[in-house]
Amino acid sequence: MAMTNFEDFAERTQLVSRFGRAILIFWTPLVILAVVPIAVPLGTDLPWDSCGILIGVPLAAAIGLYSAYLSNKASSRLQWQSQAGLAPIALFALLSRDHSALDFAIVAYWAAAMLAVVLTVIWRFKHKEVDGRQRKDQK
Amino acid sequence: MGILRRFIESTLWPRLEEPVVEIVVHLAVTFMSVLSIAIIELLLFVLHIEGKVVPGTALVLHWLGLQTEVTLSDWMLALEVIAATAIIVVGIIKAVRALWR
Repeated sequence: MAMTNFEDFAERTQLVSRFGRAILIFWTPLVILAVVPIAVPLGTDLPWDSCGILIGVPLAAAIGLYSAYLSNKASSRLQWQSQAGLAPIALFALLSRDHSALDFAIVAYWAAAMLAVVLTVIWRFKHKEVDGRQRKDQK
Repeated sequence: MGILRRFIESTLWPRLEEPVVEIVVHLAVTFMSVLSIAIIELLLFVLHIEGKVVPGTALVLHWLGLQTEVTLSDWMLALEVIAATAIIVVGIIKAVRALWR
């Protein structure tokens, strides 16, 4: 029976690559989302409630880079631009250690990351649509 | 008995192979995710910081008009529920798509 040879089965169904992909897509961002809000305040001398920027920036950057990794070159450029454009704001807020500046930077960074993700999804969808139409025309 | 076995081996199993793999893989990743969050929660209890408010969330919640706070413990529970639901749902969708292919 096919099931008796596990190696054959694993190779045929690409079990390892499927498992690796599922870990990369689900487990990695989950652990980032769980660990960053704990690790950042513990690892800095800043008061607990002032660490928003230190959490907001790496989380937003992680989301941006992660969606860039999952998408292709053109949309990854979009992600990089959105992250890089807001880096000076984040740096200024971090250096000023002013609460309102910190708050502003957190919201701005999150908004930029989310916008970049939405634009990437739209871009990918359109790109796929064009690809599909071209393939149909070729047939 | 032989006919049934041949039917399973040649007709049924080749069709079910991919959906079964998708379900098993996603269940395994769900288990890993819940276990990881449980370990992190244990760490929170050991450090006595489970009741701390997640930094930055108060601002967003107040901005949304919600007079509430999200503690690290609440955040872990939310992550657990959302992650488990999302992973299983994606697994089921992928399995159904593989079956129809």
